[in-house]
Amino acid sequence: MGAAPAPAPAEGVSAGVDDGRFTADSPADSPADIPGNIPADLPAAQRAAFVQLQRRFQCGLPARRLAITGATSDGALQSALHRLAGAAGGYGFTALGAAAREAERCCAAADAPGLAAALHTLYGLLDAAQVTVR
Amino acid sequence: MTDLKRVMCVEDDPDIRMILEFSLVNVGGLEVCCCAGGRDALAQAPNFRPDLVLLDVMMPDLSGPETLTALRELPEMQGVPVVFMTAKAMPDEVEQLLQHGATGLIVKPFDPMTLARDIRPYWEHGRGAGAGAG
Repeated sequence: MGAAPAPAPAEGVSAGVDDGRFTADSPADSPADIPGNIPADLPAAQRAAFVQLQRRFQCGLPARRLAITGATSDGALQSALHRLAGAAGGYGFTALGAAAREAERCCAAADAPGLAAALHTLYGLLDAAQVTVR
Repeated sequence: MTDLKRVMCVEDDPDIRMILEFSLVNVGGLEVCCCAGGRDALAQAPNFRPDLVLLDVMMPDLSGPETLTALRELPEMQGVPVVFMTAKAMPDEVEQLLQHGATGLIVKPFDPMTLARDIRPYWEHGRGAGAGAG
C-alpha cells in the first residue's frame, strides 16, 4: 500500500504573523485557530516565542509532506504520519493532527480506501497550512 | 526532593522536543534535558538526575518501554517517576503501557500551555510512592 497522489495545492491560502498573533485567510485548520491555545495573559515574550515556534513548524511542513508522499514502505509512511500527528496539535494545528492520526490508523489497519481518503484530506490541510509571512 | 525542578524529555521528533522545551522551560519555569532517543537518555540521566521523565513510546532506536526498563536499572533513576507520552490512548493500550512500570501517561498532542501543570500530579504521586518505599 503506497501513498496516494497529492491533490493540487489549495488556492488563495495565505497566513501571516501580525502583532504576535497569527492571522490567516484559510478557513481550514489555519493558524487562525492557534490564538485559542494561547492564554490572554501569557507574557509577551512567551507569546512571541511560541509564535516563532509555530512559524518554524510551518516551515517544516513541506519536508513532512515529502516524507509522506515519498514513503517507500508502509512502515515509513506510518512513521511519517505518526510524527506529524504527534506534533501538529501541540502547535495548534488540531485538524491537521487529527487527519494525520486518521491516516496513520488506516495505514496500520491496511485500509487502502480509507488511507487514500485520509491522505486526500491531509494534503489539503497541509496546503492550507502553508504560510506566507507578511 | 522538595519541588519539581528537572524534567528529562525523551522524544525523537525535533518539533515535539522544541514544543516540550517551550512548555516546560518558558511556561513552566522548569529545567529541561531533551534527548532524541532512549540511548541518549540513558547516557544523560545519571548526570542530569531528573525529578521526572517524559518518555515517548514509539522511537526508532529504543522504544519507550525498552528505555524505561533500561532507565530503571540505573541507580540514579530508582523511584523517579516516568510518564509516557503517546497518542495510543485506548484503555487496553494504556493499561499495557502502565504495566511497564510507568507512573502515568500524557496523551499527544498535549497542550503546551498546561503541560508543566499537568505533569505535576505524576511527580507528586511518584514522590509519595518513593517515600512509602523508602
